[in-house]
Amino acid sequence: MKEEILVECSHIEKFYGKKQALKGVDLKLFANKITFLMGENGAGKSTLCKILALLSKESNGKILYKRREIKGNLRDEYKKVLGYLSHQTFIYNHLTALENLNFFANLYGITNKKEKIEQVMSSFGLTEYKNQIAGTFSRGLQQRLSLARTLLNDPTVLLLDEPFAGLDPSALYNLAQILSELKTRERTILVVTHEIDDTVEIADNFIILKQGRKVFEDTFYSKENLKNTYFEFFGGVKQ
Amino acid sequence: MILKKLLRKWATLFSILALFTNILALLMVFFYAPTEVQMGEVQKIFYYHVPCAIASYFMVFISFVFSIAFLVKKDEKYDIWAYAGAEVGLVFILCVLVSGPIWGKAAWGKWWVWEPRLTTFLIIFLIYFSYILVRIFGKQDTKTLKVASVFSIIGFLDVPLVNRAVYWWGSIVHPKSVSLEPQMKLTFFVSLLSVIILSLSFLFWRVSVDERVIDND
Amino acid sequence: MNFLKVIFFVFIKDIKDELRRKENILSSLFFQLLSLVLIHFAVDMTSIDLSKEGAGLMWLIIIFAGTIFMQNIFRKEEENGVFLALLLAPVDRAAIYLAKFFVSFIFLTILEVFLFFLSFFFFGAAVFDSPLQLLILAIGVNVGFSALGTLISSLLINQKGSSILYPLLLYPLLFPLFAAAAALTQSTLKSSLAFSDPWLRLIILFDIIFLAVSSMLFESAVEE
Repeated sequence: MKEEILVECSHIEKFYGKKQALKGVDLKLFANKITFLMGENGAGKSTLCKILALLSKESNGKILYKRREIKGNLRDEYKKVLGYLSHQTFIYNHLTALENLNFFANLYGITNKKEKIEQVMSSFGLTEYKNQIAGTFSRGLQQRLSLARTLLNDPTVLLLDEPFAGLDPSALYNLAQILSELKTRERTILVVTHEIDDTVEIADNFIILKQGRKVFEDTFYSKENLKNTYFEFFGGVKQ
Repeated sequence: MILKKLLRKWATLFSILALFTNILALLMVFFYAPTEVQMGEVQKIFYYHVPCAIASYFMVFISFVFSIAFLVKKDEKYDIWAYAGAEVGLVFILCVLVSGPIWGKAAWGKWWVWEPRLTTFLIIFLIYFSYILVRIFGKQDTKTLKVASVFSIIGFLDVPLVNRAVYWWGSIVHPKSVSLEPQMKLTFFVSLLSVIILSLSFLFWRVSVDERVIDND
Repeated sequence: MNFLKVIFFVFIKDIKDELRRKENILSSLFFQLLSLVLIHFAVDMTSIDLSKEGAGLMWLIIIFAGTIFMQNIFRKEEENGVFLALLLAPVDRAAIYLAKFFVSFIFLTILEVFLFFLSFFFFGAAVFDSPLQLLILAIGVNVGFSALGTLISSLLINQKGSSILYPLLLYPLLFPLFAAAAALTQSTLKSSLAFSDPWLRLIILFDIIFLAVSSMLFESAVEE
């Protein structure tokens, strides 16, 4: 099967004053694949992810969705199929779980709102908590609500910016499970991380950024292989 | 990219120009322009007071234009100019606020009179001082630059409204634009030119010392 | 997505949230009472004509109380980074700004009605001689006040030292509005509000300019 490129960015540059955070990065997200974007702190991973999420404007370069440049009407079309998850939960503390989901469903203009909300709530085990204030939830429950919120609009493109930061091992395992499940349901996923742990096993491709440049890109073979490549660029103990 | 070398060249050129025009202006103010009958010597402040006011408007206008450019393009080279414009503008606003009371003391016997144009400048001073405070508080992160540029735009648009408000509020009137004698007019235009050139040289120097300007050799 | 619908959804959500957390509205209402009492002991308010110099004092209190409220209007979006979620949504960002603007507007009006009531109760201010005109004036002021207040509040999301910067940025800009409000309140309490009054035109001009400019600037101001 020929691999289809869903989102692509070409020669992205980003300046913060004199400092150049991204120095001409090309990146392709293949349809229904999980891509891992790795690199040290300050390598420009999060900046790139924010640019892909249209939260930050690139200084130079283009972002393409389905081979068309994202602007005008395509902007909203792209945002509709976009999911973005970071270590922040993106939920209103003083609204109930249901109100939170309802509000974002409204913003995304989801047509079969009621069923969709019920569906994500039951799949994340939130139904019994639906009328409780989200701020009172435990960390794990908030994480689930956050995921439910992200998947509400059935995003085909998922950008995960350090989603594993600050998670305890069991939550980490759950998230990795969910990600690999999502993959089977035709989603294109970009994971930004700087940790090499068990979660990398689900990757199809991985890309390494160093000081704003793409230094490596390959399909995923094994965790060991990835570790060795990673340490080649950033130093550390070879295994 | 803004090149430091080129900027320095312009700055030097304008500084030299400013030096000569200012000497000429000073000579004209004291030896060419006739002394005003009612006010006497102190009226000569007018030749710097008004040009400083015009120069400060010019500088904050530059800040306004480059702030818009920065917000649209998100390119920091515009922000450098916007920042410099506001800062140099503030210097000239201060000149107005200092020269005004000196004149006022002679005219009305009081240092500060809540006279419309001067009060307008006091408010403009408050606006642009806040602008500088934001820059000092926030260092150089992108967030601060955005805050500052939005503020510069809003602040500039606010100026005419401030001016109207102050006019209706106060009752003391600014000296009516007395019909100047031709020699006075000529002197005024020479000193206006000299102050504008001076403000531009300040602007170029200020931009060239911004740490974000690229040093090329 | 329909522009007006988005304004409506964000507005309703915000009002619900504000009423639920209460801290914002309660503290600004209480602040008004507090400062009214304090000012009374600084300058005996019973001896001050509220249709003259007292009018300015009223607006001073409103500006401070409004600051307390509007400074925190994006607080709920600062928690958990929700603001990014709003920006991610496929909606016109100006709609988000306008929704927040309406929330500020509504709560400012509540603050003013409360303060007018207080000043009537304590000092017998003649606010109920021409209540409708005073309300029109208040609405005129609130449009400009909340337009700038909301914009600056949005600029300072996640900014260090935002509580110090907020009044520093807002107050110099509000000057024309404040002067007009004080002057018009005096004339409103004495006689009637006339459309031909240049102060009223100034307020309308201020409202139009800054509401339009702010909703235009918001989009590019929130994008990194």
